Amino acid sequence: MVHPNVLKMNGYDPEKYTGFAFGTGLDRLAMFKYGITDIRLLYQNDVRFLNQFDRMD
Amino acid sequence: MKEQIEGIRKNATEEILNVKDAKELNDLKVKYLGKKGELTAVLRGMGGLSAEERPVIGSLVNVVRDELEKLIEEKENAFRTAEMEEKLAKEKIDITLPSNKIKRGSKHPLNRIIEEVEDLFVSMGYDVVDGPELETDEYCFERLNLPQGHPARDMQDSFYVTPEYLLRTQTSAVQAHVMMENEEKSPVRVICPGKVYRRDDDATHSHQFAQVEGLVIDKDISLADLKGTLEVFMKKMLGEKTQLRFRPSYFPFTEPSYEVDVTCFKCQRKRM
Amino acid sequence: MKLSTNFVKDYIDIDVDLKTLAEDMTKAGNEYDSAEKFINATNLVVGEVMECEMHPDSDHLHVCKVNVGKETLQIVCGAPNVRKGLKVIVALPGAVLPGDFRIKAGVIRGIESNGMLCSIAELGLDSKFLKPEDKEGIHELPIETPVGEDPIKLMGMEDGVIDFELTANRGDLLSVLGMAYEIGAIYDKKVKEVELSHSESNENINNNFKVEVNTENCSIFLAKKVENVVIKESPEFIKNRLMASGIRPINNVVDISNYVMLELGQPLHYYDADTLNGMLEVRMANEGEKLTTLDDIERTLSTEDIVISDGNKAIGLAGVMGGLETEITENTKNIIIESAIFDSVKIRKTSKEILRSEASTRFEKGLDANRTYMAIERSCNLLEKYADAKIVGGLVKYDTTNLEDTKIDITFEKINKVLGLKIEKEDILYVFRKLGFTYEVENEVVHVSVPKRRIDIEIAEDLIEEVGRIYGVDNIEGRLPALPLKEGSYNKTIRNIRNKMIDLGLNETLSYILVNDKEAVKYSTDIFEAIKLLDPMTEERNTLRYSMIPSLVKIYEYNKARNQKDVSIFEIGKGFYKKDDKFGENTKLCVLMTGERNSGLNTKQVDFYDIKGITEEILDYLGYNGRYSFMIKNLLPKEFHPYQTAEINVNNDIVGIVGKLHPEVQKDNVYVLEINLDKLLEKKTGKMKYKEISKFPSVKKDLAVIVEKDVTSEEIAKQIKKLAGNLLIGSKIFDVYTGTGIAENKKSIAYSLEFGTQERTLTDEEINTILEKIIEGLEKQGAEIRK
Repeated sequence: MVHPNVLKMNGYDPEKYTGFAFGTGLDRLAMFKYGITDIRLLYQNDVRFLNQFDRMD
Repeated sequence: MKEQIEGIRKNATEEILNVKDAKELNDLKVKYLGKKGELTAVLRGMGGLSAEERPVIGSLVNVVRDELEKLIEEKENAFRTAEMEEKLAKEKIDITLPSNKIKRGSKHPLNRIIEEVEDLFVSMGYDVVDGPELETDEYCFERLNLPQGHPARDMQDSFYVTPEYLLRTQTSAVQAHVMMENEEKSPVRVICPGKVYRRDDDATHSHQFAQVEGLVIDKDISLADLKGTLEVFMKKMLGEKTQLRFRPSYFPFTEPSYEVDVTCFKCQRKRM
Repeated sequence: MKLSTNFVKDYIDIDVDLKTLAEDMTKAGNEYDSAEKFINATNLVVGEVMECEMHPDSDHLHVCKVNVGKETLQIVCGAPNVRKGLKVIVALPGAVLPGDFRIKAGVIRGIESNGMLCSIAELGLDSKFLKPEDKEGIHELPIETPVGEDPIKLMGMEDGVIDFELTANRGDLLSVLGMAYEIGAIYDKKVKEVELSHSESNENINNNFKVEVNTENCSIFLAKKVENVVIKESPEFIKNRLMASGIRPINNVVDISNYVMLELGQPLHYYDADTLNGMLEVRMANEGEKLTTLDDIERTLSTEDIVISDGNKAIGLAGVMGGLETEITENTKNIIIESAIFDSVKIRKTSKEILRSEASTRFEKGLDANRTYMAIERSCNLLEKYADAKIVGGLVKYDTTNLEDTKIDITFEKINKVLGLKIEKEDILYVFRKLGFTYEVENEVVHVSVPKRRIDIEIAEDLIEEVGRIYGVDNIEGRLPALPLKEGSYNKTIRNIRNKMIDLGLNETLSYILVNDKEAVKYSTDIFEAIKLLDPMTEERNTLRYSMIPSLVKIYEYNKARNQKDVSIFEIGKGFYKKDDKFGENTKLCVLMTGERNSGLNTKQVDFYDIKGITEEILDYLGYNGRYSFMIKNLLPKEFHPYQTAEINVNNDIVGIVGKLHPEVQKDNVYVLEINLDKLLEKKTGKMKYKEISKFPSVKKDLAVIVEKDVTSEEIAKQIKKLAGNLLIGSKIFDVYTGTGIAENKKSIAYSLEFGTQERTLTDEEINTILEKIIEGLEKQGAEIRK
């Protein structure tokens, strides 16, 4: 839940509003979905890697 | 005269059936059916016949003519078909050779995931927003309840370019932008996917990676809303059997804060 | 934070196994890394060496007969100190030692051996805790140790250690006592009192010792004196608990200061009182002031560092590390105990720059001043007991802190509203009781009193978190927020560009934005300042890119090194710059093409016209058809081929560059394209609107023009258009020829011209008139018409 200080600091009245915030890494989701075992593959851009993502999901 | 016609019929039929090519066939057509052909000659010679005989002979000639014409046409068709077949056979190709396909390129797997996440949240009414990657300390930390000297700054060792500016360590930096730039201070429903940067590099961490941040501000938003939203999100990404567990944690910009453990069909337990 | 379970059990009665405790703490938000026995070995027994003979086939091995109680085993041992009569630690066959080292009965050089005699190192004790003799040979137990017993238990090392990865707000858990309160809250157990009692002499320290605090960065400073300490080894329990917590035992006095820090979370510093001049001063360091710390390193300080001085010079780096000059030595007799709180932000800064210690970690997270007092008392209690200290009466005290509980009001409704739960009032109050918070209920409001040890709790939301943490939120029923339906928005243009590039056969990449500073200024003639990192991880990546080309070139080189020479890639990403003291970033589209592009049996080397084609495709797609041109510029970035590069002009503004990389930059034929999308996408586009198809047929005429090689096809096309007027509705080049029949310095360009109008069919005469006009005009300018 958004910290009341954050709401206040950015101009929202914490008495009136509440909020939630969430964050997650996407690299791991991609790795999980496509069975990629090493995060570095995502940034090496080996064409033999890239070529495997040429179709619809 | 009748015998004469029968003779023509017999000879012509025989010759037509034995013809070798299209030209010979045409010659025969002229020989028997042409203006100066044998059958025409018979018709011309009918002047000497009686009134009773004339129609009989006339109709016989017509029967024979029709019969020969049909025969010739059949033969012509046969020749044409054979000729076409021969022509086409010469055009035979190896259809197993490689095609001239226009090879499509590929979409980076991380952007595929980002698009998938965007589509899901857009369908739930979220706006996708973007913010600067070179961010101020104020927006990256201070406006998120992380003043200078806050111990939680350790969680995110950062790349500063000046004492004030740094590469954003978290997409949460966009939260403050969204709130500050919303002048009416009206409800907010956004996600921000994007690149973030931390001083960290090994097999499981990259100094550059991608995050998505979600922010909803409205009246009466509760932890149950967060859980429901994340359930929809994680089920979509990891499968319908995915289950979430909230584990209390600490982030300076949220209170209460949770880390979410995800259990799904394929993964044992993952922190997301 | 490594928690010794023996240690915490001094303060709380719990009977749960190690893993359960670790898991239950994790559920409450205190994640653990590992939970293991301090000595993680099985099947160990005390043995007595009854016989010890040389191995017949070795010059260092011994064959021993070892009595382990139930039986006597023959064991071959290679340790130099093994001898008859020794009491030893025996790992029986079947024992598993740390590192998954399994002991089996076997034969060593022809002699049967049924187990192993162990050294302390083999029991998995961290090497920093080993004494020289521990590294040399097997461990020698005291001679009175009973045979057949568990040696780990006898050595007081039977302990469980949980290594917690604590969140930044829970400084209170950097103490055994804090952990005890937390565990107590989980299992509803009461925390026991800390033993503080000791006797004191009638003297008063204040008579001959003073403290001056000359900075606002110290909120409390207490000093106490003890005399006539006897420096010796600490008792086993102190040594073992320190080691289990990751601290090396030194001597009883130093160990006690560390022990109290671990126990109460309050770092202490003990000075050799005889090295001081009757006073301590807290102040900010002078710029460039020198101090040699305990680790014998001379530190240069700044005005941001808090120091302790003897009134004359710095003798300690406050909150981080003491000075060498005043340290406790074997000869120390009298001690001044310092217990203080220094500003967390300042300590954080100093420790980040100089060094991080157990003490600084605790100061950084904030401390409870009640413990500052308690730590002095506890020190006295232990020093009296284990160092024969005489405690001098009185306390030197500087204190500006507030020791009162924090008062927070909250309603039951608010707790349930934020958590999305329906917790009964009584259950909420029970959580507060378990946490050791007192409260008063007034209708719907609870007035909660939070002890100062929980300095992280300041506002109502913090209490909500405590309720959620201890009550548990596993049973929250997830739901989607009840918000008005609306269509969300996203940047369709960027996504369309991405899909278009993919359709054109390019692979999308994702590159790092950090590049080398030398690379960062290349591939552009724009005027900007590259942005360098203050503290890069490697020189390879020390600067933010301006152009994306260096990133894509890197990818090409990576692939080339792996024998992948056909690379056609693109990326949409950011470039960064500093201009007039302001930072900026632009979204850019970058393409790199090299090697072959295949289509069936037709393979073709990529050339300029391929990448120009990609450029035109994307510009046409975005609606800039007829609004762009390729410009030849004299001033090109020197990384480009000077005669195979063009700038891309849209609506009379340069938005990008396309061309071949200079052969000195890339040996192979590498073509790149970069467009500043922020700049491009603000340009006006044409509208997609239907235009009437003419009912009258058009007429095509071919025209071959011979010109100087330097003349561009575009120049001729422009001339033709001008000369032909508006009846010319299309012109297309279908051949460019040089060679036989054409002079050396000339080329022939063949155009197919299309004439027509919406109103009527043009006559041959009309068309011929126009053609003649074109030919005449071109000839006048030196062109020749090929007949």
